[in-house]
Amino acid sequence: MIAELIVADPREQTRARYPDVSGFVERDGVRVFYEVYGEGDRTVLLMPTWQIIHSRMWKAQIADMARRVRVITFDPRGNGRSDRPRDGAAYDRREFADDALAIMDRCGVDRTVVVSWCDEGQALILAGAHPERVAGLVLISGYPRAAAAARGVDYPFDEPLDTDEGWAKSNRYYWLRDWGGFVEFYFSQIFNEPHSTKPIEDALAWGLETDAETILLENSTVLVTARRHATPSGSTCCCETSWRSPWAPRHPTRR
Amino acid sequence: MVMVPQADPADPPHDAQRLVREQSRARYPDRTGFIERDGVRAFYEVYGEGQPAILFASTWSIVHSRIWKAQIPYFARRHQVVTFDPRGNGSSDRPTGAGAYAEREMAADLLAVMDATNTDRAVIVSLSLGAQRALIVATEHPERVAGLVFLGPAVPLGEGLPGRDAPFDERLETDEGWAKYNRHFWRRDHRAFLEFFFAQCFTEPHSTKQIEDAVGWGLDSDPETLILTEDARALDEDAVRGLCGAIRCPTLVIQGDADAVTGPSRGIALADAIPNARLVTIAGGGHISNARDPVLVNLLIRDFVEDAIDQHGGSL
Repeated sequence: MIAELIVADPREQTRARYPDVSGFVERDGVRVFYEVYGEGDRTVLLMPTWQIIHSRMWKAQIADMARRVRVITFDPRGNGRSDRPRDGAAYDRREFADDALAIMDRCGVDRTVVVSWCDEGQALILAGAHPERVAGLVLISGYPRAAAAARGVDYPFDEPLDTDEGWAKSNRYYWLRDWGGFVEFYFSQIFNEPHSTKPIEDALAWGLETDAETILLENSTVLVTARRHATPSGSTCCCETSWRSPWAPRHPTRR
Repeated sequence: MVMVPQADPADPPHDAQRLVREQSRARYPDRTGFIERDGVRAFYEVYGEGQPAILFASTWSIVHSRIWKAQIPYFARRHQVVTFDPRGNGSSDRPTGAGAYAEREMAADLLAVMDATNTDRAVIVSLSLGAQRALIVATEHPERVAGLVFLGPAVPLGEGLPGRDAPFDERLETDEGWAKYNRHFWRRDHRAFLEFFFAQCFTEPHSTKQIEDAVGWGLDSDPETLILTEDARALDEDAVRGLCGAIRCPTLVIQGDADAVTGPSRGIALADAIPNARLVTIAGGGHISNARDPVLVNLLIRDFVEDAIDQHGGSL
């Protein structure tokens, strides 16, 4: 008998594909981490969403797309391997867009398709301010707060509440008390299909790479308001379509 | 604006009623048919072409051939893949006597499916109870078997799962845990048994889909049929040891070390009993590794098949 042991579930997740290039750009003392996969004349920039999670949210897209195009991802300020500046203004969505531009310049990319998920402000700013650099926009989703509003539940964010139930968790004081509790709740709302335990677990782990204090810095900026206004009211969030577990792939079917 | 439907039912590809209401498939069979022995029909499917053929054996009739759904499309790219439904589930008949579910009958069905599909020789991949019929065919017809792969084999070797000792036939005062593995409970609440059983099969995190699938396949059969399979004669330890000692083909055993149905020791003991068998243990793996860790298992089977070809100078 020849015996060997295979560990199917190593502590750190393996990747279907690893980056060919990675590095940091630095703007005003803030370092932002990026990765480049594949090569080609065409580039797709997978934009970070708000800093509750980082670039691994694109893990189900990168490997496939990098077979044919150059794929760029980066971690948003405030999560992943990017810095966590302590000044709220550093989280202005224009800064995210400028980070994207700096990375494009570093990589010699003149023009790219931009894909955004959920928090589309930075993609819209990039495309609006630099139309010559953006070949196309794919905007996946809306903003979950709109989903909360659609449910008729809109708790104040800045006031202490006497409940933690449901969307009452979307609250400054709850975040500070139990950031992980919020992240888990939030992604259980985003992944409300059956068999979503894996994407919820992934997202929770990414969310725990940052903290409430860092996230709350952003709330002092005016752009968070702009971000909320950028979402048509009543739209619902279907963010999860981009990175659901491969165990339950959803293949769009043409009729 | 284009609306993409959330989930589109598959175009009904075949006449079989089961296919009409089942999930869509990554790949559909190129041929289907039935073998018939003593008036009992068993349904088979053939996908792809290429040698060696890979036959995915039936297992306990609690599920049918869709348990191999994560293997079929991958191997059918390069190999002729053959699957069949066990008596008692899927599109196969449900004979009403326990004798029809004996392991020797299951083995004879397997051989008849090989004949009907012009499969002279195949690598036989088996899961759980399917190990017993695979052992019978491999020893009695060694010329037909190019290699054996066992996943979580249910054989009376090694130690059983601790605590799994509630009597099957007696009325029990409890339904807790393995007390559900009981004739009376099956009649009382078939679905609850299936949900319990497959939760034990899939102890790995994120197995809700696999459990849901398997419970659905379990419901394609019924409790009375399942009771017949339990009343049927499986092989005893002496018989299994005798068969194992006679195996001469390349053999791979894949065993989860967290198997909560048979326990991990049966697979290890089987690999020990078969000459030159190779054992791969999956850390944290449960009972049905082909469904829960399909990429890992498929690559292990692929490498096993390729190694076997190399050792036999391509004449496998």
